[in-house]
Order: sequence, then structure tokens, then C-alpha cells
Amino acid sequence: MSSKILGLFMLALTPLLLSAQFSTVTETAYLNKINAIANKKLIENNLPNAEIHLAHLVEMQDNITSSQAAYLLHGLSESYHLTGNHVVALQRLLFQRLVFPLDSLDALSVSKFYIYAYEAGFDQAFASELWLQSQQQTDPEKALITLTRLSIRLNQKQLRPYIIQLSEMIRHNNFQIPYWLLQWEYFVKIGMKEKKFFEQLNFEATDNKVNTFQLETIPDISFRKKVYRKSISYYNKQKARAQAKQLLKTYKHEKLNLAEWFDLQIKSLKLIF
Amino acid sequence: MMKQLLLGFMFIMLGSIGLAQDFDLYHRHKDDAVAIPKISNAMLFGEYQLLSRNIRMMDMAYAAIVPGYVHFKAKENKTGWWIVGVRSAAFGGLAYSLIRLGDEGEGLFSNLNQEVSPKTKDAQNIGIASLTVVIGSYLFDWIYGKYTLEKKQEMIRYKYGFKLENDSRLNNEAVFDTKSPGATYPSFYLHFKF
Repeated sequence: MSSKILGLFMLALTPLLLSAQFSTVTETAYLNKINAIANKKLIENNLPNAEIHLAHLVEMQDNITSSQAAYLLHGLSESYHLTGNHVVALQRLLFQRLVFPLDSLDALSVSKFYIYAYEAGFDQAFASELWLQSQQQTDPEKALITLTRLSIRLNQKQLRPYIIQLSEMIRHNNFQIPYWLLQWEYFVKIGMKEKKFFEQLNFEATDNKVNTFQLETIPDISFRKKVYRKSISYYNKQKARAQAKQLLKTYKHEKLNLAEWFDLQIKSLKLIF
Repeated sequence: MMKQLLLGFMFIMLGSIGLAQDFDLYHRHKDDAVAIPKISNAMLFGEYQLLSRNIRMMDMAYAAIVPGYVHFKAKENKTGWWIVGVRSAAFGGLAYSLIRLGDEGEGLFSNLNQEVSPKTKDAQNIGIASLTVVIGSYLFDWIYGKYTLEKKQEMIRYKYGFKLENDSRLNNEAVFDTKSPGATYPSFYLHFKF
């Protein structure tokens, strides 16, 4: 009789329980299961769900234990590896090591970490550097900044959304935004390719007073002019004409060759019409 | 009398088919479009769309008119556009063949076993090949599209089935674990509905 009453209670509670978000334990259990099956389609189908869940975890860091998130990220990393996204797999493993460190996972991660790095096209020296730099950090600000720097150093276009997620986390936690991140955000915003601007990022810069990217401070003149041109086109496309005009005004003061002068005239005409 | 009864029965049957909006073999509720389904919080809109789509008899007719219709319905746009391209090319080939055969006063299947001019033979070959591609692409769209949609639906059901079951088991364990702080104790209520 008591089991029947218990059954009734369960029946009454079930709709309430089902309406909640899935738990991290469930998401991790499912990740582990489909990773073991290694069904590529099934894994790809679950990636958005796992990423959304991770975003929820990051948003509500206080409500979860670090180990739950660590196991989720470990499983997520393996999912990316199985679907052929080796760079993202590596980035997710770096995320786990720096933001949700767990000693017991390190032994499991080390061989995977190097395999993902090799498959992403990196050599042993760079992989070892990544492994060493992603050692457990006690300061959460330092850990997040290091993760962002390493993610940018992986130098892949497909990592853009993941780096943007990290920059949002930095802002959300009111941490100081490094200048190289401001540079990266600006170059990505105006539509420049990684290989064009990567060399210009100054990872050593430690100026904590600057909160916005300053275009006129780019030391390389030819690159600065390129950024001006891209920026004017970007703002013009976005119908932000006042900003485009302002940039055009500053760009006029640069030493321009004949081709650049013609380009300037075309851009000026585009702004009028 | 019997004849009149049969005619009357046939009239009712044909009347009901004529008034129907789809060739349904199964009963369908009239308020299907009004009912609001219960959706899992974690379900994505694309997944909900896939789950609520079925390939019905009318879709077979639509797929004959719109190339790649079933694949588009199964959210396989890339394959859908391939079918659009292939079938458009095949229609082009068929039109070219029919125009050339028309000029020579021949049909697509006329005098197939007899000696005809090389030009006519070429036009007939192009026409028959194009027609085969049109029919083949339609069958591929219909059969493989249906298979793809069902496979996608299986994956979605498997995923949420596993997660719902696992979460419900975990929650039940937590609810009835009276040793844990803040545990919920079972209670009972009666609900009368008149």
C-alpha cells in the first residue's frame, strides 16, 4: 500500500521536476554515453545543448561545484574531438584546466591534450607551452585572462565565438580588460582576418588605464592605414556615418599614396550618397 | 433498392473525401493548430520544428511540384538545393529535347525500335535521360528525405528521453533523501474537477 501512495506522490511531482533545466550530472552522463558510442551525428546534435548548458554554468558560477563543470567540459572537449573540431576540443580542455581545475582529471587529460594539439596542427613545443601555461591558477582573474590569451594564440577563426564568450565573462566579472583583447575585438569587429592582424597583437602590453581601442596608436603605418580603410568601410556599412566621417577626417592626415588617395575619394563619395 | 443504397453510400464517401483537406489515413484532430504543446526547457526551436513535422500524403504531391521539398522540410537545405539544381537542369534537357523533336514531327517515345535520323535519336536520348533524372530526383527526395527526417527525429527523442529519465531519477533520489539538508518531504493533495 505504501508503495502505491509513494507512486502517487511521484506522479504528482513529476511535471514539476520535468519542467526544470537538465542537471549538469545528466548533461555529463549523456555526453559520456554518446562519446562512448562515438556516433558523430548524435554528438553533433547534442553540441548546442551542451554549449548552452555550459553558458548557464558560467553565468551562475556560485551555484555549482567546480568538479561538475570540469567533467562536463572534459566530455564536451571529447565530443568536439570526435566530430573533427580539434582546435575547439583543445580550447575546451584549456577552459577546463584554467577555469574549473580538477587534479584528478589532469592525469586523464594530458595524453588527450597533446593528441588534440597535434591534430589541430601544432608542434610539440607549442603544445608543451600551452600545457604549462594552463597549469592551475589560484587567482580567477589571472586564469580567465590566461585562457583568453591562449585561445587567441591558437589563431583560428572558428574560435571567435568562444573568445567573445570569454571577453564577456571578463566584463561580467569586472576584471581589467587587457589591451590586446581590445585590439582583437576591434579587428574582428571590422572584419579583418586572423592572419592579417595576429602579428600586430601586443601580448606584452600592460597598460591598465586604457579602456578602448585607439586606432591612431598602431605603430606600423601601413597596417594602421589598412585598419583605417577597413574601419571606414565597416562603419559606412553599418550606417554609422558620423563615426565613419570622423575616421575619414583622421585618415586624411596620413601620408597616402596615389591608390590610397583614390580609395579615399571613393569612400568620401560613398559617405555622401 | 440495393443499387440506390450503394450509390448513396458512394456519394457520402466521395463527398467526405472531396471535403477533406488532406488524404489522411489516420484520424486528425481539428484543433491541431491551436493546441499548445509542452516543450522541454532545453529543446531548441529547430528541434521542435523537426519533431512536429511529418511527411504526409500531400507532401508527396508538393514534392513533385517543388524540387527538394522533402529535404527542405527535413532541414537538409544543402541537399534540397542540389535537387533544385539537378531537376532544373533535367527540365531544361527535357524542354530542349521536346522542342527539337517537335520540329521534326516526332515524339519522345515514338519509333523507338525503328530507324530514325541521328538528330532525332540524340534528342530522344537526351529527353529520356532528362525524364529519368526528373523521376529519379523526385524519388530520391521523397524516400531519402523521409528517411533523413525520421533519423533526425529519432536522435532528438533519444537525447531528451535519456535526459528526462536521468534527471527525473536524480531528482526523485534528492527529493526523498530525508538526510540531506533542505529535503522536500512528500505531501498529498486531492483535486476535484467538475
